[in-house]
Amino acid sequence: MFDTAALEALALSVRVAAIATTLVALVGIPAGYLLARRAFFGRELIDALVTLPLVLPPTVVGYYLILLLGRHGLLGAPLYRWTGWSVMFTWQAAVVASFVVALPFMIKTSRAAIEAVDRTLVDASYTLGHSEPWTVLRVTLPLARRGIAAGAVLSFARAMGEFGATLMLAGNIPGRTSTMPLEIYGAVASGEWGRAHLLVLLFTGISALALFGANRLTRSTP
Amino acid sequence: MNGLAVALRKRLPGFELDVSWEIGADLAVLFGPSGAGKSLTLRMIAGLARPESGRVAAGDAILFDTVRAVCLPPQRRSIGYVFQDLALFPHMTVLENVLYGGHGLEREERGARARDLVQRFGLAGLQQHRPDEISGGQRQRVAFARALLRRPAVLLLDEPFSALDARLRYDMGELLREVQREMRLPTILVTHDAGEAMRLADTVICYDGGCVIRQGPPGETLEVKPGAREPRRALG
Repeated sequence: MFDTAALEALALSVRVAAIATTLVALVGIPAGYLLARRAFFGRELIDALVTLPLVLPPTVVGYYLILLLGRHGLLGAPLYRWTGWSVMFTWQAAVVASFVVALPFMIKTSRAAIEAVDRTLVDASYTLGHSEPWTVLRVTLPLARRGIAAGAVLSFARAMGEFGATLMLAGNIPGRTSTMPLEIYGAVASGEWGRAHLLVLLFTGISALALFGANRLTRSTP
Repeated sequence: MNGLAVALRKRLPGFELDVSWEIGADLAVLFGPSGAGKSLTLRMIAGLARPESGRVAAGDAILFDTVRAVCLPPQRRSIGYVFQDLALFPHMTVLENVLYGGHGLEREERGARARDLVQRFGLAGLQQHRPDEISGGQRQRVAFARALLRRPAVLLLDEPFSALDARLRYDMGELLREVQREMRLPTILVTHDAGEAMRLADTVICYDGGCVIRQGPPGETLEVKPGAREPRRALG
């Protein structure tokens, strides 16, 4: 029913979103913890900064990422000089774009979930001799896991749907950087309505399934 | 040599704590009105709040001393702390909660001691239940067992019986008394209840407005005398 380009786009979207969500969790949960539990200078400034991609248009985020990672960019130029490789117009660029736009969801939700864990339980763990990292693993994260799981689902959904920043950073190269949203845009732009219909249905179905599964996952255990 | 020596000073907006007292391997009751600094004192002994200056020593171990620049983190103070709301871990079973208190013990010893305490505190059969599935008195005993598992040097109890009915309160008091004597554990019990203080305390430390106003045996400190404002209010 679907052509290979559609399946490729779907596979690419899932891969990009899965990798981006993993990275988002690795960065976002510790960041959420630090923002929730540590008072340091510039805490709210950092919170605002990582939240910016939530309110900025994706094209603006994409533009910043070009300034940062482009061949003449702040990080991109030295990287290109040393390795001859640029992230621009690769599937990895789609991961970077998805990571940046999805990160605020993870940080916001995990910060809120961790702040909601009763401070006395943490104190109790400390007085029982347990270190902070152990307390995080055994007490804080287990009790905050629903919020964190919700953040991961939102991040995944946002990463799957990422369009603007991806287009600017990764372009729309069939089979290489053309994720589902880009493929749908391409189908509509070239007037392939039937194909666009199917792609949209497929995408909606998969997203709904992911949300449903995540809901069950976060509700099943006490 | 068991004992607890405490000297603490801390200025907060609208409140100043300035106390100094010492106990042996006794059960001491911190007695006084709300806001007198009793809970803050416990938090400072445990290392959960930091005084501006002072000294806390449990036996020979110095836990906090501004002169010597010593301030051990709560993890290294060997203090059993029973919180007012008990602070049981809701995602762990009764047994897991108790075992969590066994930090630093060998695995076998931890298991054996946990079994003993579970038996002794009448929690047998409840090991696999979660805290929200057992009664208030049982929760109380879980918190108590958890705090005792690794044989702390000092036991602190912050009004742990306040949510119990009179009968359970009495029983828990007896259990505390018994365990405290047996382990010769310097113990601080914060309470509002003069009857409880009278019944359980070896020594009573009366707080008011961030200061110690009296310290001594319950018969002397809790007697209703003119000028003994707090005990009378609490007894009446």
